Amino acid sequence: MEERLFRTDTKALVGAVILGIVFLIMMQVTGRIDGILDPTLLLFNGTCWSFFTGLIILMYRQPAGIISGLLEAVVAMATAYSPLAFFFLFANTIGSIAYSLVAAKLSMEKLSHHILAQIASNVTGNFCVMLGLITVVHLDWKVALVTSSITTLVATIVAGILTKSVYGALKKSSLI
Amino acid sequence: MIAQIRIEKLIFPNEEKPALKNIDFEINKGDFIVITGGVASGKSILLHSITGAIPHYYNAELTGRVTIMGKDIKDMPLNKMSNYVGYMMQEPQNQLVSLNVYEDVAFGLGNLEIPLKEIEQKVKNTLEFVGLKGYENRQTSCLSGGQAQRVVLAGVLALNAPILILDQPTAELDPQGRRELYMRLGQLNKLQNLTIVLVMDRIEEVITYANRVFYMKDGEIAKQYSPKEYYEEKNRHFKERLKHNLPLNAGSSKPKEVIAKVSNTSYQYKNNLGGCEDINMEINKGDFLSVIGLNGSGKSTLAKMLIGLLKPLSGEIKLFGQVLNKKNLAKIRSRTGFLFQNPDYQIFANTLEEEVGFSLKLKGEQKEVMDKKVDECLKFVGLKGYKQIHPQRLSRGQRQLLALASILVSDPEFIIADEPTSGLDENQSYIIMDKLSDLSRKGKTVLIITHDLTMAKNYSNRLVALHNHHIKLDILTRDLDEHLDTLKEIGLNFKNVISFEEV
Amino acid sequence: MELSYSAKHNEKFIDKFDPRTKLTWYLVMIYYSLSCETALKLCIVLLVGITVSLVLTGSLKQYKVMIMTMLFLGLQMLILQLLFCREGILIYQWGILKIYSEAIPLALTGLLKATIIVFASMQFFTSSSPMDFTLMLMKFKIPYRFAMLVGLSIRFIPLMKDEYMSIIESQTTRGLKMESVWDNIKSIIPTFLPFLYRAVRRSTEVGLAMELRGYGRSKTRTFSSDLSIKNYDIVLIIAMFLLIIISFVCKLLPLAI
Repeated sequence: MEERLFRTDTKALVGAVILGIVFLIMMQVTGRIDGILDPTLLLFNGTCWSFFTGLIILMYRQPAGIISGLLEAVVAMATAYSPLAFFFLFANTIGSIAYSLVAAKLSMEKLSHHILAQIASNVTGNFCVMLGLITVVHLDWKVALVTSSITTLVATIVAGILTKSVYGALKKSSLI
Repeated sequence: MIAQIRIEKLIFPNEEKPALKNIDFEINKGDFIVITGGVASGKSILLHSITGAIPHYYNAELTGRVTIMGKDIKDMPLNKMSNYVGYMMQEPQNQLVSLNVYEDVAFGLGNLEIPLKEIEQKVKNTLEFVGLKGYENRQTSCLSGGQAQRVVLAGVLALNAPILILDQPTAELDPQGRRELYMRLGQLNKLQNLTIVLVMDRIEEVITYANRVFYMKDGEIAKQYSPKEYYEEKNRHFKERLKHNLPLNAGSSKPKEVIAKVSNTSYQYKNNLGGCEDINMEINKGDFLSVIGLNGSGKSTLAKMLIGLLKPLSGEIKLFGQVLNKKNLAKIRSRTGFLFQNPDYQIFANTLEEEVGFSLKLKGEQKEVMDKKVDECLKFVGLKGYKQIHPQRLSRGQRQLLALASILVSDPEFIIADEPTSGLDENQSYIIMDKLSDLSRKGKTVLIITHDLTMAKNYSNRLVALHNHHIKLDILTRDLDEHLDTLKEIGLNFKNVISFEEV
Repeated sequence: MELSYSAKHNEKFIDKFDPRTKLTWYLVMIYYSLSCETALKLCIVLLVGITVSLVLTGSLKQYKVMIMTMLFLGLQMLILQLLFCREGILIYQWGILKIYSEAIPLALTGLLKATIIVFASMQFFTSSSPMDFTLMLMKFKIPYRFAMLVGLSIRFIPLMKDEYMSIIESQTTRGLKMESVWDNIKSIIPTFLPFLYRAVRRSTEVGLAMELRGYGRSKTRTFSSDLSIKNYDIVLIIAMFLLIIISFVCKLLPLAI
């Protein structure tokens, strides 16, 4: 169980940082698309978030997931890129832990395993952002719940499929 | 005397088709070994097995025994290897881990818990040795390729390991950078008796300093040479090549049709670095043009302007008789092919077939036509047997060939290639250059950016030399001899950079 | 997305403070942004924050990027509150659309709270050099192998941004279009995948280079500088914690009575 949860070798730590930067840049790319198409639901951003949260853990386990999540959140804060970045600190950490707890218990060979792990990280992660929306932005809790649920639903399915295929491609490439 | 490196019956990985097999050799103190060989011959993997990266970093099983100064590397953790070996790779930017030069050179010393005073002195001395005195506070991101690689060397040398292992250390450097680095390696080897093992595709410049050459093929050391033997054999091959297949660089008397015209064009980057100033040139149909010049002289900027990736701040560029602008960009690009220096910037597919077919797919080509063209192109670059393989499993040289195939598949009239032979060994380079010259004979126009002066001289009909963002020379290759001194002044020494006889 | 670190020059007032003092200040700002409920109080908190930045760094230029983000957020919040707020009295009705009196005050306080958090975060995360952050993490007993990752990220962010741009350029020369939003969506995979493969190769190489230079060889290492907390830092930290505690107790007391 331990080795399915943790990896603290240099390769994993450096991987967390480098993949964290990819995560951050792709969040900006998808954020720009959301800004035009769906500024409130953030479906592309949400999917991108779930995808990286999953992929990094599959590749490097913990604490790599938390490190890259924190990196993404901190840079988003330092550059004032997203107004909700403060809540990403918690969402990224908790979502990542939830994903790795589920992923450690499953073989992660079937699509259903990926979906299950995504449910865990999306529900917890989106819950953190929802709390932020309610307490800081004073959004009505029902509205916050509906938007968060839509994002969770879309992101879980799309990111589940994506993590499975991209992780498969990476394994096939023999780079990891 | 104990051999510093001893490899016995090495096989890796333990599979049916291993990447390394039957490796047996000894390297003694003070040796300067150069390892070369074709694409995917196992050179880099061999180095990894000496540094201990195999089996410690890349988790795979190794059969046989690798000992360094009498100790089995299987029993040594990787972070203790710095007592024995210093390791340097191709891309300096991946080996600089700190924000400024001082911190970077001090990185390894700090890890060894050496007292601060001693570190300061060591950093100062090593930087002085690599010719970067006073660079302590420079940002690592602002160094040129050659400087960056020398900072990496300083960081490795500061640790005082008795053996230095280098994997293609000059692949990204210009002729001047290469020369400087090799000179320093030669000094270290002669004066400090440092053992050096270096892997390189093109070795004519470094061979002067070496005492043995290993030639690898299919994961085995196929032949061992003395530098003299290697040099003689190479020269023989070269002369034969020239006899049988004389590359056509003689100026043709065909009527000239201008396909690209650059007039008074300038470009400057935001940070005031690099760019091009006041460029005027015409490229004729069927030209095989080599753009040469040191790093930062503006070669890539010029190429990027030609394909519309950078918009000139002044002047205009005409391609196929039309002024390059946003409207006709897509149309013009469909008639040109641009090969980037780094093939990894474009490879994304799961199979070679899919990768090569990508631009045809974007054009909406029919499947049968696509399959046929993809097959042809893969066959041409010699990768047909790998059609269904994941591109990332190929070696760097093979990925370069794949990128070329994906450009050629759309049958461009004008091919621009940024360092098409980087990462390729001599034979592969000749294959690529022969093909490009074939295309140029068939009426296609080729522009290459290259640091390889031998190739530039032997293949192109025209040379354009850039210096400090300006065109310094634009000459026919047959007139090269009249301009050798001017070229030498701007760091491009065509008088065969280092010849064996000079040793 | 350039990260600017005023500490690079080592001449500003802000560099006289320990990163731990700055962290405590950040906590104070976050606490007040979450606990204050009226627009007036929130405005005061924001003004205090801005003044501190102005005094310590002499410039507010770096916060310019915030303005667009916050304006966009403000607009979004206003629309959402106008559509969904059901507090206060009904002031306008058109079909199912109902606008209540509390909509605008709620949008305003929400925007102020978010602005304070964004401002304070930016203030904190750009207040020290990466090296100081690393040293601070080490003071919190985080092993150096983890703490040094801060510098590593700052080193590679600009490099990898440039690389992503090169990948986009490379693919556009192969015919990939990047004009409309739809093009952008379609181009995610052909630009992201080379970036991912490159990143994995890069991280493998960087990790190997670091380890072969003794990274993680022992539990400690020699750093070229150290943090030394000054007396005034300690006084400030204690004072700020007291402020939070007192204000918290005051908030709770009416409930207790």
